[in-house]
Amino acid sequence: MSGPQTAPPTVPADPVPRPVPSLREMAWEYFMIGATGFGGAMPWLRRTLVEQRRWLTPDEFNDALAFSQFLPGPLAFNLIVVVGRRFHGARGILVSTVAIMVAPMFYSCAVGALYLRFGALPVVQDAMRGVAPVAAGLMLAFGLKTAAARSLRSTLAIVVAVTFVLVVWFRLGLFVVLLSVIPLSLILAARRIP
Amino acid sequence: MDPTLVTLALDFLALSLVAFGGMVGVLPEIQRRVIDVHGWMDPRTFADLYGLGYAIPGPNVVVATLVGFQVAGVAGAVVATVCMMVPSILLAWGVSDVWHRFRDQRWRKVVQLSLLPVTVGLTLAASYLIINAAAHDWRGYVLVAGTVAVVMFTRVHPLWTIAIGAVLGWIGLV
Repeated sequence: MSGPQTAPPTVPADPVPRPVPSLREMAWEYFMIGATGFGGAMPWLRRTLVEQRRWLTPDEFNDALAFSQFLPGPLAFNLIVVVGRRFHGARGILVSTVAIMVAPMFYSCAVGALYLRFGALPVVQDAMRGVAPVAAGLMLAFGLKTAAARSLRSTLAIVVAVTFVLVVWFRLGLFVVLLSVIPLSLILAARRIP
Repeated sequence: MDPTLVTLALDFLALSLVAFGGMVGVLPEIQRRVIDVHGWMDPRTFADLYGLGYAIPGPNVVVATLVGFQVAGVAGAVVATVCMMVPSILLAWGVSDVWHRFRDQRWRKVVQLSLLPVTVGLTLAASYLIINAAAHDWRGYVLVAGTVAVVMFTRVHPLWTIAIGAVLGWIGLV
């Protein structure tokens, strides 16, 4: 890897020229994240793009992250679309999105096939009886952590509650839920931002 | 073409464009469709698949891959994954320019702030539904609570909690 081994500068104007990744380098890094990045792609993307390869500054990464959270769709893909486009246009997007999904696709089919074949075995059932609640707990913990955001200690908490009730209690489809709560949320958010 | 594949494709194509907050936001809807609407699997299988997703590295879109595989094999896995990915990728591609231009606009901040409580509400709803599908009895709920405590108050890697859950289940404690 080229570049000095100093901490990334905090000023936006970066005097050190940053390496521009080739398509092949991007494909390889994304493939490896898909092949080895346990626990979701996001932390690994930050590590690779900002800390190891330094293709993006921390600020650029955060901006791309905000973009990916703003738009619908799996977050990791929105992020690598921005990065791929910036360095290699449409080809960059195609290569990045395919490269990161090759290994997980293979793993998922393998795991799915094993589950179909052996899922009914007592030993698998026993293990899954422990795995499934832990996975559910991980999601709840994630939800609770995000719910603790300071901006939600306001009237916006109403939106959290209404969304929850519409989905869980009234069992409404997602489209109906979004059409109901997004206008409400927009009004409440507009009143909080001057 | 297999009608199941077509249904799968249409469902995930639509979900891709409303997945605010990422995959977690659409989990309740995926769950509702594959269990209640189409009757493709029972809640327990869905909870199992969600749990197995943690054992797979890479983007968490693999939940869609696993659901697709369960419903229609390798073709289902490919169809579900690609349909979940492509519309939002095209959208992101189309608007990434505009995003920069409106960087400091007030409406962008308003929209961004307004999406947060919606995604939090959807995440909590998804958690509620999947907990009830995953916990077979009171011990399951205790394990959920224990996991939440571990994640909130320690720095243990999530993968370890999954492994510990598997062992607890295997030795019959859950």
